Amino acid sequence: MNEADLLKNSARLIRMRWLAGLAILIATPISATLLSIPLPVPALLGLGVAILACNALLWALARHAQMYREVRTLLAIGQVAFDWLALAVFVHLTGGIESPAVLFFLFHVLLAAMLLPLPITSLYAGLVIVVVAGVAGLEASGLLPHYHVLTGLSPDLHRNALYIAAILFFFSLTVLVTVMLIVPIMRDLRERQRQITLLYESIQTLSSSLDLAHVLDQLAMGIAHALQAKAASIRLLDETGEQLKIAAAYGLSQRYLEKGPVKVTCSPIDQDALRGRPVIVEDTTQDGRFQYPSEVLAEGIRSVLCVPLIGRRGPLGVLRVYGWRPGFFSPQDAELVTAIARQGAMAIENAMAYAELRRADETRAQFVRAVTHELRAPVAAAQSLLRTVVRELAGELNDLQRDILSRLSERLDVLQMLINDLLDLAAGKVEGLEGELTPLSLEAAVLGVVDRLSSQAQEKAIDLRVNYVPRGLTVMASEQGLERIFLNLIGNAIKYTPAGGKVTVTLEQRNDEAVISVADTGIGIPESDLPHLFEEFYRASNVKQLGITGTGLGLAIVKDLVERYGGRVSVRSTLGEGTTFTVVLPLAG
Amino acid sequence: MKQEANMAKILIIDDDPDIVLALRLSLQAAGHEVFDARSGEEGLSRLPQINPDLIILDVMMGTATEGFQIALQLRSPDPRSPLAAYSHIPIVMLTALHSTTDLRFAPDADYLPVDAFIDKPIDPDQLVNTVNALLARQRA
Repeated sequence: MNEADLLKNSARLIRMRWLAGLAILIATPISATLLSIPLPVPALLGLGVAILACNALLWALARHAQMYREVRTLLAIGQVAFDWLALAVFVHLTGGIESPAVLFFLFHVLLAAMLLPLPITSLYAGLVIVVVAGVAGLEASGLLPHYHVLTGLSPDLHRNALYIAAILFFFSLTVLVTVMLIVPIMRDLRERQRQITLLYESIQTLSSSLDLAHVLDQLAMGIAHALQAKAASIRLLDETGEQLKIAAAYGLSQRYLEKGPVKVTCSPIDQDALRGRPVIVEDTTQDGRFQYPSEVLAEGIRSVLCVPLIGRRGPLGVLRVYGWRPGFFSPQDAELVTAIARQGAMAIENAMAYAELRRADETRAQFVRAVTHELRAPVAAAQSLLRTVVRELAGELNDLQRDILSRLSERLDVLQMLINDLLDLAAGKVEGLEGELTPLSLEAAVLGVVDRLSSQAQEKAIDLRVNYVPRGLTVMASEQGLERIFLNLIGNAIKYTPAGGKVTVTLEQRNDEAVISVADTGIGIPESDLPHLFEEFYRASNVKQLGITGTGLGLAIVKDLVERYGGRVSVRSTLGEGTTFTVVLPLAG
Repeated sequence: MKQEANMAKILIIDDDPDIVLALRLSLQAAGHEVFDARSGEEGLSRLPQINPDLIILDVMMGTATEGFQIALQLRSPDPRSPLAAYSHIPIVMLTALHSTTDLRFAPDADYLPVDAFIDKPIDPDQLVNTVNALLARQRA
């Protein structure tokens, strides 16, 4: 019995005990006066009060039981001991072996069967018989006084050996039969409860995962554990739908797993299962339906339960559970595993769909990378050649030629920037799927970027400053990505701020987040452009009018990276006054 | 050697003829003697004949990492390797992995044994400065 059960049942028993105590206090005077039953009234009232007082103590203990293990043990033992004693006294006061209250001992037996393991329940039943026999014996021998309550009966009945023997015999028989009836029912109930808990747990882990291998492994292991079976395996249909290939296994030897794929046409068990019907093989030595019978026997598999994994679009494969003795699986097991398999099939389908999406995403990003590389090589070569000509390394140029070639070189610069940004965006999207992030110093990244851009700021006479108090802020990110965020934001701020302006970078900690803002006194962004600013290829209208070159990808890259690191980015701007970008990143650890 | 103090033999290993031409124009203008090879294999095979003072190596040729592999072979610590005689030659690696103003990984003796990186497109002044600085260090 687990502790939550113990506490719950303690509370229930305490409630019942209040009723029992009160019932004695009320029923005793009524029976004694109205029905003229010669009860030992003071003794019974004393018992009632004792029950209530003791129950108050138990109630107080139970309130602290949640906190202290010792109290819980004391509570469990105290209750059992007290109830026995109280009931024995009650039986004694109401006539001993003649008392109909003897039957109340059955309650104890039932409670024990519900709450305690089987061997203790049997012991408990034996003790009940001993206690009743003890009370009868003590009264018969005169060691205890006998209260002759049921006046219609012979006053010597409690000394009549035959009567005592008959009552004890039938009482014992009743107790034993009760135990024999209730124990298997309770055992079944507990087993079902355990299985349902496991089922619930396995479904929970399954639906929270998109990793196919993990889903399959968990499913196989979860089912083998739930049924306490030897092993479990999951076989999925291949593309042709003709072969079942092992996708996950728990408890099977490598040699067994390497026996090869199962041909559906050669395996009537799997055929049946794939049609949606669970199959139980009671005894593998007597069953001719296996494609690999000798391997099955060599592995020590004596019985098999095979259930279908049916997805939304048809059968995906089969789930097999292996028993180490014949007749291991019951129809209830088949039902349970079918239920798990239904949930499992859904989780498998989800994970497969996710893997498919991931593959498509990766293929697309790889394509973009390949294209970008192919685009970059000729531009780089052309640009390299052009620069040697502009530098007059291939002969002198006249002014017009130099001007034309310089313009050509500038256009190639823009094209090169665009290609680089595209490559970063594509690479970022692939990297994002891998999710390899490490704890990095935010301050080092920001200061490094500011350092690198300081000469650029100086050239434009821009006052570039960082406001921060060293706090050792650490965020989960990739090194290049983190630098890229600030290169783009601070680089933009310098680019769009006229000479003599200011760019201020501020680093702060707010709760468990780092807040980095980049404020400039630049040209600002029109309000109508703000909602689209982080879209790929979007460029603010005033920037285009002013003829400032750019790709419209820089902020899309920033947003992509920041979100990959679990953060967010926002912008505030007043046209003609300046812009502030704010990045919020969760702190590591 | 009876060469001019600042003149050096430079071997370019790159499969892009236009990049090779741009490099050649820049380096020749600076007074260097330029040789070229179109693959890593060809470059390594011509080493004894040219005996260059500096090697310029493109990072991506036949495969995405051919340049890396050539650099690793040249700096192989195995003294029995026939290339061991050339392991002292400075190597400049041409990269297209990072854009000019953006991130670049510093030369790392453990990971990639080269002496300098130059990003494509080539800037003639930056190229000549880098090459001359490495040659001066080598002669010192």
